Amino acid sequence: MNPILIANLLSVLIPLGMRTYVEIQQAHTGDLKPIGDVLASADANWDTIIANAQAELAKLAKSANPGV
Amino acid sequence: MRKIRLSLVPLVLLLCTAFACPPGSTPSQRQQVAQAAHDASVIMRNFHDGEIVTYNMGRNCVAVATTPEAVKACAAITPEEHAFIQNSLITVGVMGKTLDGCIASTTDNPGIVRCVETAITAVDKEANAGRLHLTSDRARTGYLLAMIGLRTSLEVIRTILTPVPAPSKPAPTGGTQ
Repeated sequence: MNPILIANLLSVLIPLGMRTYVEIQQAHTGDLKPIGDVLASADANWDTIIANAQAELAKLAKSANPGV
Repeated sequence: MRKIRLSLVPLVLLLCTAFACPPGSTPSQRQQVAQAAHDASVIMRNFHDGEIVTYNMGRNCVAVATTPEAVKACAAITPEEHAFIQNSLITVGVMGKTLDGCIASTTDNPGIVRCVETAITAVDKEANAGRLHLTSDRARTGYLLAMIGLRTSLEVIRTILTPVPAPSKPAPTGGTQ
């Protein structure tokens, strides 16, 4: 294989690999939570909203029909 | 000729590294998108928590009010408005979870943008319904502000993932026939 081609490829792949490594590290530090954790937290908020809204509707139904 | 073509490979790789081709989201873009989706959920949860407290305070106030003027002064959220808001928030909550799933599972930007646009359409529909059904200032203002905040978070996602169009070349001026 052409040594010049190998050198060119390495000059691109090494910085690319380093950049990817740094970004993965940053994603796991305290500054940047992993994307999965962020979305899971968002989902938990939506679940809380839905559950609380359903509870409020149940209270309203009960107060409208106290004998039931 | 073959040597020239091979020597272009690193250049192509370098350009792809710089400009993130093919058009998938970069790790930092996905981080920003996930954060914006999280912000949307926080806005709505804070609004909901406050709305429940406000509704209960108004209900307690009305329960002890002895005159129509005192009842009016409570400026309470009515039970009908409270029910409307809960149903709306259930719709928005399901929409939010669907969007989170889309962000988690879709790797190309246009796919996520389509999900966001569906969510924005749903938010606009809820906001328009709110304008029709909510009459008390307290319910209407709080609800619409929350919807604006939610829409803004969704717009942020769309902005992050929509490529900036290349500036168009100015039309040539002058010329002779």
